[in-house]
Amino acid sequence: MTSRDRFDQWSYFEERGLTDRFECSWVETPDHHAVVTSLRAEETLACDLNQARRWHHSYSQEDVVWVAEQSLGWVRIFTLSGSSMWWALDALPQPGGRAFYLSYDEQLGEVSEPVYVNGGEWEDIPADHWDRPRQEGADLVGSSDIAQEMNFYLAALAYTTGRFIDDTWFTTPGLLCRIPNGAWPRE
Amino acid sequence: MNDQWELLRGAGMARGFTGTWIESDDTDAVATLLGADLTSRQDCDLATAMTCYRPMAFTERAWIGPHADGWTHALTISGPPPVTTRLTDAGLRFLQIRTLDAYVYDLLYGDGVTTGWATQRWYGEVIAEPSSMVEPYLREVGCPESPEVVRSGSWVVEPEHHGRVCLETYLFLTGRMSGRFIDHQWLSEKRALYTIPLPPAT
Repeated sequence: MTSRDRFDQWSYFEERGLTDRFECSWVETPDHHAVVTSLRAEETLACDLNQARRWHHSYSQEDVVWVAEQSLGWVRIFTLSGSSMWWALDALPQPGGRAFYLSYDEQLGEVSEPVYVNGGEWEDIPADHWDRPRQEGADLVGSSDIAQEMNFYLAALAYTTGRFIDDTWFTTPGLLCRIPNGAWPRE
Repeated sequence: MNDQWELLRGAGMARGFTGTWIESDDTDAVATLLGADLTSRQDCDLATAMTCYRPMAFTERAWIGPHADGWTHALTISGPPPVTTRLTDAGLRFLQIRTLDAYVYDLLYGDGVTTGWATQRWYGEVIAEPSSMVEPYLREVGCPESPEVVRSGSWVVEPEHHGRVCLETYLFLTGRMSGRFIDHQWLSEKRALYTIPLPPAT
């Protein structure tokens, strides 16, 4: 357990069977309860992600996410089924705050370009965001090409939010949330 | 053998079916192993239990009772599929079939020591480890017939085509192994409806 490369964050999803579809957002804001309210969740259940992953279902239309504190000042939103709610991302950070969204779909076989919000605006991710993971070779760690790509992106997010994913990432108390149909009307 | 899925659809389970067949006569012990709150027990028929039906709800409920000689059935009424690790810890054999919307999951089986899957291959073919407990029954299936398409179109919300054929194979396996198929009698019996609290964090 102790010998695992800290850059191999993707391996924690691999061993839990959560790699067929991965969608997670990181939002700069202090209170995960406020994020749950902003997401217009109708029903919540207090649990950690090891418990919440029983609701993981890649092909469902129902929006179910799990929300918890990532680190001081950052909240994470992990999608278990349905859409990722990424379009709500610009409404979630504190004023002037940032948000990142990362996704991978096994059927598409590719990692999507990460999405970034800064101070309420959708922007390109600043180039220096990737400097440290590249210098330190985070993109060389992982069981496959996809794993290495994910570990590269996850390393940048870990440096930005101040926390790497390990077993404790799945035992943090959080809230499983169901977002009802029509809560976010799409025009 | 009746069309097993047609019977379950008729009972209102088109949007999602999770059934667990457990090799044990002791239904109370099975309920306990599945984590049921025994004080929540309500003896009722399926129609009554189905008033709580909601696939993948945050509250887990199962309708548990005798299935056949030596077998107990646990039908998930709401919530995710039950956690089966304690069945294996107790050395019990089980089979679990699960559908959600149009998606048919691979059949999960436990032989009392370990667990495995009878996996789906295109088209309508199901395979299992040669020495596994389901394999002898799987050999009886032969070439499956293609069931009639009930609902087709751009939004398929129930198992059809490949998934439907595999589902019928799975329901054949559970019927043959447990010694009893789903029929109108099965659907009209009384069993015990339990709430299953969230298992504690580990």
